[in-house]
Amino acid sequence: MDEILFFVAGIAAIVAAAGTVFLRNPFYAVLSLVVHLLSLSMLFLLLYAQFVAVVQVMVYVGAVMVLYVFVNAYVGGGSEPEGGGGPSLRMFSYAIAITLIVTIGIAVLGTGLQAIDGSGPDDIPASFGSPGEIGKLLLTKFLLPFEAASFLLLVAAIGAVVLARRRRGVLPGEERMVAALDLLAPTGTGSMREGVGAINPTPGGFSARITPSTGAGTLPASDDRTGDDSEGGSR
Amino acid sequence: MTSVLAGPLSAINYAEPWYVQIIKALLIFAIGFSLVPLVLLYERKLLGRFQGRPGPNRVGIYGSMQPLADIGKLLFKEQFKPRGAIGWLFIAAPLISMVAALATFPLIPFSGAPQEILGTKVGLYGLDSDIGLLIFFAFSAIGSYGILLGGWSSTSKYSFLGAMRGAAQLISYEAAQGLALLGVVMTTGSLSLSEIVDKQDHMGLWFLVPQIVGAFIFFVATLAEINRTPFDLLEADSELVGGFMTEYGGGRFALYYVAEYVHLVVAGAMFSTLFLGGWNIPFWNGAPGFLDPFVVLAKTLVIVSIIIWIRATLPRLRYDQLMSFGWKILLPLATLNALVTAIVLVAL
Amino acid sequence: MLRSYLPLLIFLVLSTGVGAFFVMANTLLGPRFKRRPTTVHEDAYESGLPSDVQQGFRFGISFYLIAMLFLLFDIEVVFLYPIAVELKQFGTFALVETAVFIVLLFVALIYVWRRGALEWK
Repeated sequence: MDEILFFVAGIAAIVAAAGTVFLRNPFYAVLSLVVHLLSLSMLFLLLYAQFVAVVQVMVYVGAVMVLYVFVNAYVGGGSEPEGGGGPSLRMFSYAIAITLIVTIGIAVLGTGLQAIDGSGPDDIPASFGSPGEIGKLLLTKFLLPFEAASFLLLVAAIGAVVLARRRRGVLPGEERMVAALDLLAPTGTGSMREGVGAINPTPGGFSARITPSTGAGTLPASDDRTGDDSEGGSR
Repeated sequence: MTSVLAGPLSAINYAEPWYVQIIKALLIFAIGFSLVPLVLLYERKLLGRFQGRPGPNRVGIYGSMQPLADIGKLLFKEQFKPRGAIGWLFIAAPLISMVAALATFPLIPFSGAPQEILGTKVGLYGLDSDIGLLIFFAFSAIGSYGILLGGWSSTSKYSFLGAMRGAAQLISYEAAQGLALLGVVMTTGSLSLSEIVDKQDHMGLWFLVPQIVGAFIFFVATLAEINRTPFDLLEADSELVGGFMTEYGGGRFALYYVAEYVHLVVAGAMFSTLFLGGWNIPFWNGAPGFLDPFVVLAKTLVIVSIIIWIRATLPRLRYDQLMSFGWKILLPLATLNALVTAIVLVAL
Repeated sequence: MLRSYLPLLIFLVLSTGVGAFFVMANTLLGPRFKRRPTTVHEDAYESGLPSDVQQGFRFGISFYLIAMLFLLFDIEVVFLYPIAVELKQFGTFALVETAVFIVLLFVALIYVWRRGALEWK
């Protein structure tokens, strides 16, 4: 039973990893990565690492991948041309690939081949891989990484806000986002300015923001979502 | 404590023979699956009463066959897929939702001491593991993909909006949900659900009392996680038609429905396990073991009724209110609750 | 230990099977039409208006930010659970470590809050 599950999970992991690399559509690539991570979690479970297995699902599938999906949606999934990357980037990626191959090669030749016939240690304690054991390790051997992690999370929070602000602005007063349904309408749709023909909404462009350049009227940041109509043509 | 097996099974790493496990799993699956039409009917009946009407009462006695009629109707509809939909994702999405929902059902412990059934000791749960609670979270994380993919692959603006809203809502409340249970875990010193109930059994005190804040946060966050009113923003009928399932019909729609009601049952059972002492009957220590599953089910029914009651009472939240409630009230409150619990536990 | 996960596996297989039936049920049981469906028939729902939805919506950055924050707090939860299990054994020491961890994350939350990233727009 273990063997069957191992091969199912292992093959799924490899296929999905290949899919992540080769699929052109970024959304499918992300989904492929999700499948890959789920298979990895299965492999962790087969190694008796219960806690790691379930955390793998919680953090990677539950959080990281949702983040990727949102980023995908944010940049407009599927329609973006691929970035080729410059020659230096290409060299860099080759270097990383070679390093990875060498590392894996050492691991396989060094210990992997010997372990092929073995069945692992026989006396795995019942508590192996349980949250309690991990907790003990975190509080003794890996105390510093544990505390460093909290600091890292703080830095990441700050970084997320700063990056988001630099990209398109999320802070009050910088640019104004509108209600969810407005996102789907072309800029200026439904306003009185459109009614009198003052603006021509561009069809197809799901522009989320009302910017001065499109002429839909600049709005104070504190204004509510119905601001369009109240502005009228009185600029 | 007479025998070793009186405690929770996970403590002694006990696993039944494989055939017992299979029978057990089949039985629990059958129970879990057949609870869906019952709860469906119960909700419609109760909602009807809340609104001063009888609810379904034409099909069968007191409308008892209504869910079956509904499912039959759904299964005999025409297969439909909108033109732009991404075929295999469109099919897989409701399946993921339903599988992820049902997979949390075996985690619920129905009895403490294993029961003697036909000569073998059987623990009345599908799975009792050191990481039981985390498995619950993991599957609800997977479940959010059912919604996300369903909305994405439909290529309808309502579906898409519902899905994006839904995913953001689910992850917003999942953090608070996880943090709210830290107090329970700290007090118990284990993530195994049957040990959590056992602890309440030994203390003679349900966690609802010492962890009242945690219980409140968990309850509210769970409402949001299972998309119940007032947090049903992702299928907000009045503005999004049907949210992420706008384009679904027939059996696929039924799957989303099954997922929703399994979620409802599991939410009730989880709350009664974590905070209402599971199979524990207060002030009655020598309760016979065969009562345990019924006690759990009764408590579950109470919580489910409360959730339905809330649905009949409260209007839907606005989306920005929903988000700020999750992040600005529930999350800090849950963090503080964890901190205070830790301090109290260590100080005592 | 792995044996105890067997019921879960059975559950997954069973529910996938039942789900697969539900997914395909309408193809098997539902009515079939000889004529090819019209384009209107296959349109996504749009209140009777012509639907011009394509893939690749663009969405607000708030979603990205929320997901990023959730990632941080999810990792916090995952770190805190093993510590919480061992809290009583390690006593004050574990308490201090937990407190430092929680307080740092709380500072992050307050920072994010103050910068307005929690305002949904």
